[in-house]
Amino acid sequence: MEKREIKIALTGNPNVGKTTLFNALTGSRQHVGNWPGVTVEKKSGRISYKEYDIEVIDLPGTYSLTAYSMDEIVARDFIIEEKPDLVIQVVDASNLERNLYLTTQLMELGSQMLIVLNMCDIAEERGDRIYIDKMQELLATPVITTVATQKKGICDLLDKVIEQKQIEQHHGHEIGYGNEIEEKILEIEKVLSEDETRDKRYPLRWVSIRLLEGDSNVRQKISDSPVYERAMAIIDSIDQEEYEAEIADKRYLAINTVFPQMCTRANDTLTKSDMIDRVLTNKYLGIPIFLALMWGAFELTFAFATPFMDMIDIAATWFADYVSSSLHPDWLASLVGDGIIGGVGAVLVFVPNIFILFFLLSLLEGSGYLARAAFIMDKLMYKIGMHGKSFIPMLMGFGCNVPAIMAARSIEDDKDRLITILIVPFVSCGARLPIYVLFAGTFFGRQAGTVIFAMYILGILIAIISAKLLRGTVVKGKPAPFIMELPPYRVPTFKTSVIHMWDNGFMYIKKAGSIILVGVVVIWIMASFPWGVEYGSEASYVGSLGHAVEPLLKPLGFDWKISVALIFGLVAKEIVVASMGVLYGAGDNSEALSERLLADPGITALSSLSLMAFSLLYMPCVATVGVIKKETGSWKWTMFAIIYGVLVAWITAFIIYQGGRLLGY
Amino acid sequence: MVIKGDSVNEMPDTRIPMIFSIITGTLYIFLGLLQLSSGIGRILLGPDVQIPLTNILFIPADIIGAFVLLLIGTVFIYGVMEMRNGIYEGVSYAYVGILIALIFASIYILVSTGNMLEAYLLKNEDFVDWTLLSDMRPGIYLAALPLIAFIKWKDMFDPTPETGVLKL
Repeated sequence: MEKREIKIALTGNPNVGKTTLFNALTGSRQHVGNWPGVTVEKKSGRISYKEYDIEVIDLPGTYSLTAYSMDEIVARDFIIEEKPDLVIQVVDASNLERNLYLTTQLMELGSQMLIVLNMCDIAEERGDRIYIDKMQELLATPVITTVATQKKGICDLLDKVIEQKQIEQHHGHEIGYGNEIEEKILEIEKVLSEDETRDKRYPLRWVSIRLLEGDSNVRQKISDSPVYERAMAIIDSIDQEEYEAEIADKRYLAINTVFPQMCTRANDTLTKSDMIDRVLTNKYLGIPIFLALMWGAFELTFAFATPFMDMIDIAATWFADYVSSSLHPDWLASLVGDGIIGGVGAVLVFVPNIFILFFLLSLLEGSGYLARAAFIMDKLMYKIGMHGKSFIPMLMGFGCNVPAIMAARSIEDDKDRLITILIVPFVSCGARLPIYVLFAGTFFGRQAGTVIFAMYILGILIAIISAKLLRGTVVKGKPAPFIMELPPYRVPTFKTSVIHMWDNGFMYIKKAGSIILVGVVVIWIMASFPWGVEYGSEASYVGSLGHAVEPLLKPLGFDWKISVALIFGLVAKEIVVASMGVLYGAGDNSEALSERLLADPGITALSSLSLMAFSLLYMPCVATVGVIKKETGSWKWTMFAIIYGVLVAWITAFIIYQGGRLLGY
Repeated sequence: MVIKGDSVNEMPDTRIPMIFSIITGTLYIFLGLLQLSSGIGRILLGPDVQIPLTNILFIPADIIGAFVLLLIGTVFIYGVMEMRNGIYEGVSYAYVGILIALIFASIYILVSTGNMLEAYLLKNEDFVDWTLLSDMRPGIYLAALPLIAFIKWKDMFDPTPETGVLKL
């Protein structure tokens, strides 16, 4: 029998557990974070339940259905234009009152609704009482309770979805806005209804209210209508700001009327979350604690990973020797041994570091701490002309710059968003880590963890300084005020952290088997030709390329080999290490590579520091450039990001190298 | 003064966490200062300089490690100042101080485990002279106090449901 289709959309405030519920429903492994704004694009998944095939759409979190940010527009347009069979509002049971504002707006859309009270465990733990029957009656909407993290209530939810599909009763609950506003709503509705060609998916009452609230997106949508001028004449006759405030007041009044009837809050207890926040967001201790924890994470990333790196090294060296000695002719042995195993192996050796770093970042994120980091940095960010919300994409950038730049969509103001997109590439992503581990481990011994930590701090500092510079010059203006709801602290689950670690770590391994593999083969060919030259010598093509670029990079302490590695690193930063593996002919043996680097008079501790800083800051990888173009929609800003990055990298590396030499290092 | 709960009579006694915070905070700050001196001394006077007590107390010449010790000590002492002024939420600093101390002790122990694997499993020649005491540092042994407090006072930092105050 053919299954019947149901399309449901998950909506709700940010960080109420929509993606966790989406994962629980569909079995997906979408990234979940304990902070607002993790989901910036709608995601789709499917579940087969009983005789139904249910498509689940996870929408970005929004506090309202206004059009102040891109994620709000994405969520709103989907509900209106795609008309899902059921709109499920996921509500944080421990923060019910605030979540109801969105409920009032969803009701106006007239969609068939279902409310999912998630995080009931937290509300219960705090002693809150929510009267479900009363809530259903007052909101005229079915309510289901879940604990998505523990997959509790999922079957009840699916049964309810099917039940609602069978009823097919659209919501007609409305909020009264008082005589004056209601008259205007009716007046606009009447004018708009005269346009027979209008988009009927948009409820007239909703469009009228949105116009009264000054929604530019809705205004633009009806701009082609023949009745547009007449509708605008009504809007122009009112004090729009006053109307907007009055409409919001009426919504809050409705919430304040129903809320005490459906929920009683527990005593104002001092919870563990409050206790931790009192210290971690303390104005004197907050930033030092953040720095100390980040240092601890990088110390562990380097030191604890070392024996596991060595184990991979031993196994891979044996494999490389075996393969090289078994292959004939010599060129094939060299291609596989020096090129493929040497290059790809040099990158794979750092898999333990990558896995440990992502595991620790996942713990910090899942606990809710990283949201606090944005909060404690807000004052500093505002002073330098940045929006506090920008710190979240910056923190996400520690993993990968691509989703971090996309996360800037949650920033409402276009200028704040542009600045964030331009500075995120300075934040050190996982791909740069192997470069630090190789050079810091080789030249700084037991202080390697601290040197790596310093690189991450340097990235943040340069990002902050750049923001200040951009705000004062090419992107003038004042940042918008920052309001962010702090999520409750949670003990991150081991399983979630491992999944997050695996997903990100596996991406690194996949890159090693694809783009990096191609890169190292190209480098090997360039290092082996023209035919007959010594492999990787100055007479090879790679030597010529290196020598052509060397004069530009010589003042930074880089010789031709490093210059070549940096050129290939433009594709993906991991290739810098892979190139070193190929050019130094150390195979995949990281210890041998370290020894050869130490023996090379062209590289010193100082030039390695300069190289780490340059690798951190110079042009972002190809994928990041692509996403900058997509998100800014401008080649001008994309080119600016590339040129600015290279300039900043060159100046910083020059200061480190030449400054260090002047100081006698 | 901020009081949680229904009446002044319910305000819990913060003397025990206060005494604990004074002792623990002072120890962390004292050893942090010694570690800082050792680190700065090494930079300014060379690797052979010896600050008194550093050998016997396993204090490495590590400036960032010293910063961590001083930070943990400051968290405890900050709480003492609040509790002394009658702010009962000052116990938060004792609670978070305990957590941070345990987090850093765990980091040091994991780093030491990595070194142990290098020495005994991989027989790395850089770790020939390595022993368990090679990685001993104040961040590890000082955490014994927060660990005891964490185990003994596990429920102490939970609020009593009826009154909303902590079970101090």
